[in-house]
Amino acid sequence: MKPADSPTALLLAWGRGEADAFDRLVPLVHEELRRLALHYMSRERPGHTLQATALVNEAYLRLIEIDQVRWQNRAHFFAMSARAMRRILVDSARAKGSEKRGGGIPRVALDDALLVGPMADPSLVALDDALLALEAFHPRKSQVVELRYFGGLSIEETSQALHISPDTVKRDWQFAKLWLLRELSGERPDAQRL
Amino acid sequence: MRNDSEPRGEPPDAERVEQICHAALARDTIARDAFVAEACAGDEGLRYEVESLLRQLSDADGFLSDPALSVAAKRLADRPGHRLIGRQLGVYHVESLLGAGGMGEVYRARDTALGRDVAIKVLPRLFVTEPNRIARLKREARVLASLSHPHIGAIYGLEDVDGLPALVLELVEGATLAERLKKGPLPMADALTIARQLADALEAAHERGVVHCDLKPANIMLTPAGAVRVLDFGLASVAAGSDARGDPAQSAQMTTGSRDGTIRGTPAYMSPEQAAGGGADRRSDLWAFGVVLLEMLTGRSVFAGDTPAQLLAAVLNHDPDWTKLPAVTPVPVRRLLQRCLQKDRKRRLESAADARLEIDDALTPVADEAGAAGAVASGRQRPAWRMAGLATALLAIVVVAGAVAVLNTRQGTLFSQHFAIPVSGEVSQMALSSDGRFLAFVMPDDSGQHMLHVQPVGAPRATVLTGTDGARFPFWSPDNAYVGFFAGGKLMKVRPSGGAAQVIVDVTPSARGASWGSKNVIVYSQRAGGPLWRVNADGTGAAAVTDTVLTPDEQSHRWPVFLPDGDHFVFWGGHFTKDGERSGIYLSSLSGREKAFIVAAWSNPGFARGGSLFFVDERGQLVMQAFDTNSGRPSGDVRVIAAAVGFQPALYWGSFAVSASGTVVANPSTALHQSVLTWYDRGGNELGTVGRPAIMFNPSLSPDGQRVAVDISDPKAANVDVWVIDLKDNTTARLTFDADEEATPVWSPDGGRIAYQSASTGTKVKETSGLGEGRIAAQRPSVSLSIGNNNFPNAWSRDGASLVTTVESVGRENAHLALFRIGDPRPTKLLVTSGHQTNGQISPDGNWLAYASDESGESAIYVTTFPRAAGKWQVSAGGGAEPRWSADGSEIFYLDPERTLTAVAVRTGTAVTFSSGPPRPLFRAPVRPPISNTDFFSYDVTKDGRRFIVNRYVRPSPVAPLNIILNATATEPSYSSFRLIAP
Repeated sequence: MKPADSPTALLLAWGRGEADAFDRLVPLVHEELRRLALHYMSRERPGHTLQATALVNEAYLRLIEIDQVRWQNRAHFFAMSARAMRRILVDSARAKGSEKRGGGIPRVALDDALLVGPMADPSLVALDDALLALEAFHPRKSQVVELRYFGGLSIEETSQALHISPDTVKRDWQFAKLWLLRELSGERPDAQRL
Repeated sequence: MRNDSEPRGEPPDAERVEQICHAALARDTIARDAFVAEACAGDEGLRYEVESLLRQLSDADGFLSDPALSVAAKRLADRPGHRLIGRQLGVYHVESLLGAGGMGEVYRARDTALGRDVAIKVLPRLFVTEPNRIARLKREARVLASLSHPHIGAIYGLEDVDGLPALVLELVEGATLAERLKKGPLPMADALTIARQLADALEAAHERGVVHCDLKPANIMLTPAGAVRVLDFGLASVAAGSDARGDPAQSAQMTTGSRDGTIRGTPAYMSPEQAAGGGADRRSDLWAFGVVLLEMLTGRSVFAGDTPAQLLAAVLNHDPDWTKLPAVTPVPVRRLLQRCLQKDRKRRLESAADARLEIDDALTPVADEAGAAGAVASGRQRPAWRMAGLATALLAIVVVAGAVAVLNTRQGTLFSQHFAIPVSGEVSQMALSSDGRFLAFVMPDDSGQHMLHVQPVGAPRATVLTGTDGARFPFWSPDNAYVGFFAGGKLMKVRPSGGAAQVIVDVTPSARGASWGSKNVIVYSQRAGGPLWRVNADGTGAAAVTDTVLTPDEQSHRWPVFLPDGDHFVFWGGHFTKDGERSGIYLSSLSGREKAFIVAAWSNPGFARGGSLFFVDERGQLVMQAFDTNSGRPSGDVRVIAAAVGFQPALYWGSFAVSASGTVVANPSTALHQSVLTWYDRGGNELGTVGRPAIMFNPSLSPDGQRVAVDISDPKAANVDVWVIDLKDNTTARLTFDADEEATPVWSPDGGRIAYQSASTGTKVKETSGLGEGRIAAQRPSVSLSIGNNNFPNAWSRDGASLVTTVESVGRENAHLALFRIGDPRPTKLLVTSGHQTNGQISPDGNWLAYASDESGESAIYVTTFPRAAGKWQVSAGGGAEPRWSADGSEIFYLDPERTLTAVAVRTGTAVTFSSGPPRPLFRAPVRPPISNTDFFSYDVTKDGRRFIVNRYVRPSPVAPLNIILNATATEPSYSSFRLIAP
C-alpha cells in the first residue's frame, strides 16, 4: 500500500479538510471488517478468544497507525479516527438495516421471526442515537465513548486525547455506560421531551 | 404556555445526578439504596434520575466491552452466505450465494467435472444432532435421485461440508411462485397449468412413498420455459424427525408424526393435522396443493394471523373465503378446491391423480372459452412473470414457539390444541378478549409492583400499560376496546393500546372481579363480602344486583362472568366455612330475581359459548362442565382441561382465563405469589431468612422475639392456616387446623395466646402452646346482620383483656376499628371516619393508637389517643401504610407508597401531647404485594427497632410458561402435559 493511501494518511488528509479522503477510507475499513469477520466464522472452534482480542487490536492498529503521527497531532488524530470509525460502522449498519426492513412497519416473515433470537449487543444504529442524546447532556462523556468504543482506544490513550486524567476517563466511562443503557432501555424520564 | 399538569419541574441538574451516582457507586450494594434516598430526600425527580441509572448496573459489565469494529465484524460473520464463496468442495467450485434462511444456505456452484452449474444447499445443524436423520436424508436423496421427474427438482448427491450435510441439486433458473404471487393473482389458465404440473409431481413422488410435507409457493420454481419444478421434496419430513417411509401400496396410511410434538412446516400452508402437531401423509400434501391453487386464483393468503398461534388457529378453525374466487372459476376447480381443503383428511381428496384429472376436465372448457390454453400450453406466449431471479428457494421450516401436544380427534373434525408461551415474570390474574386473540394479565414489574400487560396470544412479548400500578382482576369490554381492572379501591378502564386509565366507579380495595357484558353493563364485586353490583360502562347507575338473592348464610358473591346475552351471568357464591355445602357457581341475571345453582366449587368460573363452564376443582385441576344456560342444569361429565393450575385459597381464585370463543390460558404454577420471611437491618442489609418460601402473609413477632407467627396458604389443601416458626431452631408448627380459613395472627402481650381471624366465626384466640381449642373472642354479630362481616385482630391491649380489630362489614359502611373485650360479643366502635381504617397499633405505653386511613384520598398514617380516640396527628408524609411501634415508643415505622420502610421519631407526653419528626426512609422493602383481604401486615419489627422481619417476594425461577389451549371445548385432550421449546 502506498503511504499516501494508508488509512492513517487518509485520516490525516480528512482532518486537513480533504473530503474525498473519507470516501477512500471507507473501503479500507470494510476490508478490515471482512478480515475479522472471516476469523469469527470459524470461532466455533475452542481456544480462540485470546487470539480474537489480539486480532481486533491488530485491526485497529492497521487502521490507526499512531506511530506515524507527530506528537502534537495525537489528540486530534485520535478524535478524528474515532469519529471516522463511528461514521463508517454506523453507516454500514444503517444501510443493512434499512435494506432488511424496507422502511415501513417492521413486518417480519413468520418463518424468520421464530428462528431469530434476541440480539446480544445493542445495534450500532441505536447506540449512535443514544450517544447523540448523551452528547446533549454530557458532551465529554459522549466523546469518551466514541474514543474507546469506536476508536478502540485504551483508557490511557483516551486520557491523552481529551487531556483529562485516566481516573476521570474511568468515571466518565462508567457513568456513560449506565446512561446509555438506560437510554437504550427507553427509561429516561424526560426522553420524550427532546 | 406552561402546562400545569406536567408532573415534573425542571429536569434535575446533570452534575448533581452524576455526583450522587458516583458517590452511590463508591458504597456497598446494600447501603446504596438508603444513601440515594437520603441524598435525594425531598427531590423525587432527582431520585428517579439516579435510581433509573443505578438500575442499569447489572447490565453494565459486559456492555461495550467489545469494541465497535469487533461487533460489526461479528455481525458480518453472522450474516449467512459468506463462508463458502470461493471454496472448492470436491469437484464443485462455489461461486455465489443464492439464498439463506433458517433451513440453511444455498450456493451456486460449478461442477468442474461435468461442466454444469449446480445448487448446493448446506443444511443446518438440526440434521446432524440426531444421527439417524443423516441416514434418512441419504435414503430420501436416493429415492428422489431415482425419480428423475420433469417437475421435481433433481438431486445429484449428498456431500459433507465442514461437518454439515449439503445437498447437491439441480440448479433451476427462474422465479419462485411466491415471487410471482407478489404481483397478484394468476390468470385462470396459467394457474391451472401450474397446478396440473404440481399434481403430476406429487403423484410421482407419492407413488414412491415420498411425501413433501412443506409444499408452498416458495418451493415451487417457474422456469423461463414455463415449466414447474417442485423443490425440497422430503426434506421437511426428515427435519421433523418423522418416518415418511412405508409400503408404497399402503401409502395412504403412512404418516410423518413428529415425535417431539413440535410443529415443523410453514403455518400458512400446513394441513390441520400438521397444525395440531400430528402426523402428515400424502393427503397433507394435497391440502397444501389446495391452498397453493386457491392462492394463485385469488392472489391472497388463504389463512392469515398476526402470530403463528393465530395462524394455526385459523388453519384449524376457519374456512377459506370462497367468495374471493374469480367468478369464472370452473365448477370442477371449485369442487377440487373444496375437496382438497377438507379439514378432516378422511374426507379429503385421496390422490394427486384425482387432482390431475379434475384439472384436465377444467382446462378444456377454459381453452374453449378463452382460447388461451393453446398459447399457454405451447409456451409461445411468454407471460411477463416468467423472469429470471433466484435459482432456488429455501425450505423454510418453522419451529413453532411452543410444543404442541397432539390431541385425539373424537369426531375427527375439530382439534383442541395445547401450547405454551414463555413469560418474563409471574403472571397471576388474566383475561382473554372475547375473540381469544389478546390476553391481558397482571405481572409484577422489577420493583414488584403489579402492572397490567397486554399481549397477542402466542406472541413472544407483552406490552406493559403504564398507570395501572397495583392492577388486579382484569376483564375486557365486549368490543375489546378497553381492559377493565381494579386498582386503589376503584374500578377502572384503560385502552389496551395504552393511554390514561379512567375511573368507572369507586369500590373498595377488597373487590373481587368484574365482567363487562354485551349490553355495556358491568357487573362487579364491590368488596370481598356481600352481593354483586352493576354499573353502566359510563359509570352511572351503580346499584346492588344480587343482594336480593344473597342468602343469610352466604358471605360473598364474586367473580362474575357474563353470558353472551349481556343479561345472564355466572358467579361464585361463597360460604366461607368449609362445611358450608352450597358454595359453588351460580347462574343469575341483572334482574336480580333468579339464582340457579350449577355446580359445587371453590373457584372463579370461566365461560365459553355453547354453555361450557370452567373452574378449578378440589384437586387443583382446571375442569370443564357443560350446562344448560337457561336452567343452569349441568350435563355430561366433568372433563379435565389442565392437570395443574395456579390457585389462591385465600381468594377462591384460580389463575386461568377463558374466552367466549373457547380459548383457555392457564398458569400451571401452583407456587404463585410466594414469599419468604427475611431479616433486614435498618440499612436494608439482608441478614438471613426464616423458614421456607410459601404463600404467606401477616408475620407477627412474639413479645420475646423468639418466635414468629404467620398465615400460610396451602394451594393443595386449598386452605389457609396460622403457623408458628421458632426462630431458635427454625422449626415450624401449625397452630390452627380447621377447614376454615384462619389468618392474621397477633400475639398477646404475655406471648401465651394468639388472636387470629377465622373466616366463618370472627376473631378467635388460641393458647400458643397449641393446647386447647380456639375460642371465639370477637364473634361476628348475629348471622342475619353480619353477611360479609369480618373481624381482623390488629393488636392486644396491654392488659391482654381487649383486642383492637378491623371490622369490615356489609353495606356502605367503611372498614373501621373496634375494641372488643374478650368474651363480650358487643364491640365498642373505636374509630369511624369517611375512609377505611386498618392496622390499629397500640403504643407500648398503652395511651396511643397508630393506624392507617384513606380518609384523605390516599392511605396515610395517623395517631390518636387510646382507648378513647380523641385528636388526630398525621405521622406519614406522601402516603403510608402498615404502622408499627418500636418497643420504647420512640419511633413509628411504616411503608410508603413505594414500599420504602420509613421511620418517624415521635414524642408523647403524659398529657395529650404528641409530636413527630420528619419521616426518614430506611430501605426499600421488597414485600410481596397483598393479595387477599386478610393481607394486612407485610413486616414486623424487633423490640429494639433495629431489625425487621419482612415478607419478601420470591420470584419463581424459572418462571412457568403460560399454557394456551385453543378450542378447549372441542375435543378431549389426550395429553395433559406441556413442554416448551424456546424459539
